[in-house]
Amino acid sequence: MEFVRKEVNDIGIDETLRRVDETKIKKAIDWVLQKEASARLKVFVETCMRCGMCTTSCHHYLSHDNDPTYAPAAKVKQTIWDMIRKKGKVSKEDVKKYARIAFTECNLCRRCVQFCPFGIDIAYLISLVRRICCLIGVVPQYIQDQALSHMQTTNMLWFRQDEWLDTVLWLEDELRAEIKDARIPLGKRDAEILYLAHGLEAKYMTGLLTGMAKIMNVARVDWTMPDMDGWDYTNKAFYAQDHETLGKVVKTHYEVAFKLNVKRIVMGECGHAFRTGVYEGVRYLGWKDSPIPYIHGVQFFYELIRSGKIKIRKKIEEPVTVQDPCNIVRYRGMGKMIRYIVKATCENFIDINPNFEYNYCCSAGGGMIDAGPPWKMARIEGGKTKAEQIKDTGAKLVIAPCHTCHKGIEDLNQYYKLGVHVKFLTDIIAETMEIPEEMRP
Amino acid sequence: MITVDWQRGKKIVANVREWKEKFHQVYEPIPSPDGEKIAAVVEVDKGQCSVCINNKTWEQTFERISFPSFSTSGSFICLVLQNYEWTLAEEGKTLEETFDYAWNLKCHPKNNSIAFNIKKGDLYGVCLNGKAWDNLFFDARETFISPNGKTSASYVRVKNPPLLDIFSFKEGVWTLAVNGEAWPMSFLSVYGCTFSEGDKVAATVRLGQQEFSVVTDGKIWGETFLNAWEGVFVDDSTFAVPAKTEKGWSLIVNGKPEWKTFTQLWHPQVGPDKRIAAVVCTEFGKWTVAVNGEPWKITFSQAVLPPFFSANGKHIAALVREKDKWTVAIDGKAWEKGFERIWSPQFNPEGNHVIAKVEIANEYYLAIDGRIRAEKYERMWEPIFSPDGKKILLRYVKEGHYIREVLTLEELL
Ligand code: SF4
Ligand code: SF4
Repeated sequence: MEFVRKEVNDIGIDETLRRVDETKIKKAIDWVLQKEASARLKVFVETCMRCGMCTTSCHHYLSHDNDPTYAPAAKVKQTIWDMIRKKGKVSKEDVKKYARIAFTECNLCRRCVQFCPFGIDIAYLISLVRRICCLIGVVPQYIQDQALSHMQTTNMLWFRQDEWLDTVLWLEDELRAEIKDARIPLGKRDAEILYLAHGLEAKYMTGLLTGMAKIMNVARVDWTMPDMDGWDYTNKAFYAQDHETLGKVVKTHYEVAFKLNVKRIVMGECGHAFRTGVYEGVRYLGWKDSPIPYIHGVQFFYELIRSGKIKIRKKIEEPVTVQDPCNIVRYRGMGKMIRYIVKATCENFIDINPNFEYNYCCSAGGGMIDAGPPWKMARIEGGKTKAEQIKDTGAKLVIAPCHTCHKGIEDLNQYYKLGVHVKFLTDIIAETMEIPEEMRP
Repeated sequence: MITVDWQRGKKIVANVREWKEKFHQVYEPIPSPDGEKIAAVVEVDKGQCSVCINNKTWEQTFERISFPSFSTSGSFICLVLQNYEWTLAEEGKTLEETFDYAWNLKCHPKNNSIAFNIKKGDLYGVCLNGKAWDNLFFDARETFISPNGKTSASYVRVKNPPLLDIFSFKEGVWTLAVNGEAWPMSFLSVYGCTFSEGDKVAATVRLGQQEFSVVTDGKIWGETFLNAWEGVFVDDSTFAVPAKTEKGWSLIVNGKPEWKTFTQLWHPQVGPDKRIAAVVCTEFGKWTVAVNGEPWKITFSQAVLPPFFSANGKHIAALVREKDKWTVAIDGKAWEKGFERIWSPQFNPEGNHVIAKVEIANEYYLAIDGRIRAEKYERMWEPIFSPDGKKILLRYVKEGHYIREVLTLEELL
């Protein structure tokens, strides 16, 4: 089993390795394996029979023409097993390989877990590898940059507080051209719902935030957004396994909610942020579940349509398929809700195969897209299976209720010439819903 | 300071429902702390904002109004935008100086000093009592005012490496600036800025992946911790911070662990008798309050919010959440009934009664010691105890009218 890869340079990995010594590397490995890893690690390492039942479950393995070095168990063997075998005395070259596998060849999507007769959680093991890399300081440059931003600003893109406030004010102005006297309340105490946005929606994808604000206004939701840090629900520290920052970001979100005394937090269409907001971050802090309800965009839209708060004026006619984002479907079973919304808004729905919890990852998740331009081809190549899956549906429109899936599939579309376009549920609902007469300007 | 009329009785202050007809749009109403005034930001016409207080509207209009509130002295303050310039407006009068942006308006609850964050050109800082800092920075986040009202602080960015230059950013670009003077060192992050009664200032700082410490008046502690949250001054020379050591989370006082360890520990608060209460997680999913390191016997599975002391320091309470309902726990005992929401409960001066605004099925009630008063309101604000604890001020809206009402504690018991 030979590990053959094209050389990719990433200063977050290569330059950091030039600056650290082996003592720091050993210290990080010992710390994580002895102090942080749960009993699961030992059980997993001792139980794996190398039976290979997980092998074909991974899209990276399939997309790379069955290259065995991409098989789930092989990724663990080449990383965490290697560290255990070498008792932490590993070379910088070894760490470079671990980082490459952990950050750019596994999406932490957990598809493989479902095929292992022992329930070995490969994604957990790979996240331990990332944690070790993080403590050494070896993190892809683009992910590291975002984590550094989160540390102080809570948001992913070094956004200043006035930039956030100003953006919301002009979005409100713009929305008033479509909805009479529309409001995007900021820091409104006692609202029912605190809505958090994706960092990119404050800068490059403002249309999506306006779309959500439009839905909120039409559905007459009592809502607010924060007028303080904590408005960005993303948590890229999760990709770096920078637990310290991950915890601080999640703590901030709930504390903003407590301060404004809302009943629930609603977030938009994003997978990793839901995973951190209801699970990874919450548990790191000591909570079993989210202290107050933390609702994903899919759950929220489902509620709005079912309750009749949003009515659909005219359905989309072109053939549509969906992407089941791993973090909300495999982890949290929202597949049926997604289909309910899609069927309510689209005439011609073609399901994808395999679907629901067996759906393939978009190959951008788990930080692969956040690793930035150096690793773009890694995820495009790993996404071949996904591209074929989409092509097979014959759909023209792919609905992806997750920022990462959305961008990942857009890139696959371009590279594999799938001839589709990709939309969020927010886009679809904002486009198809009925706007009551009295709300029209 | 304002003198409050504590005469028992009801006063209809304004018909706020009528405002909806009078103005193009009315934002959320805000009552004054003494209950005598009700104010709201209103749009007198499309894109023309003003403030209406007790049916009287400010003469001036603005393009935008944000961060509206009553100051400690009872004046109405907000930040206003006119011709691309932001500034402070107090009782309808604006500051002469204007800024490219102004936000985070704060008024100190004791000394009535007013401060907010500002942007001038590409640089950032604070404006305190009408005077902007002389030194400005690449960024400034949050505004803090000292107890004497003469000092302001903000988290600032002192270096500006090019985007994606992770190695420079990893050296730390953030610090605290006090009256425009930045601390000499910078950090990966700085948070939990707090002042002592004697105007000393401290914050938690992050030096590395698992290296956290505390800086007081620009001097960093010798000790570092695996993680740390916001701390608190016990007195001018004693600082306590929740921090993570290899054994778990403990309360670190002047650098040394003083409490046994917990799964989680945050929001330490200091009582008048210098006892310290904090939120702790005794084991995964079990939360309570610990006082001087000793946790209450009762735990709550969903949440415990920062504890607070009665004025005489004898009693400690916190909002807690269990089975999807909020309630109040006092000295280790929770009210029997839970509510959809509760707003900042309050002790009487002796600490033997607690009042709060609570929500049941989208209606609001006054709760006292866990019992609900029958009267319900469509809108209501936090009730307030009189300084002698014998009266309670209610501020609410009923049938469109904003009403202030003073009740005696006796009649509620
Ligand atoms: S990418 Fe998904 S299926 Fe492949 S190894 Fe990682 S978690 Fe398993
Ligand atoms: S299926 Fe489970 S036991 Fe078999 S190789 Fe994969 S991880 Fe190991």
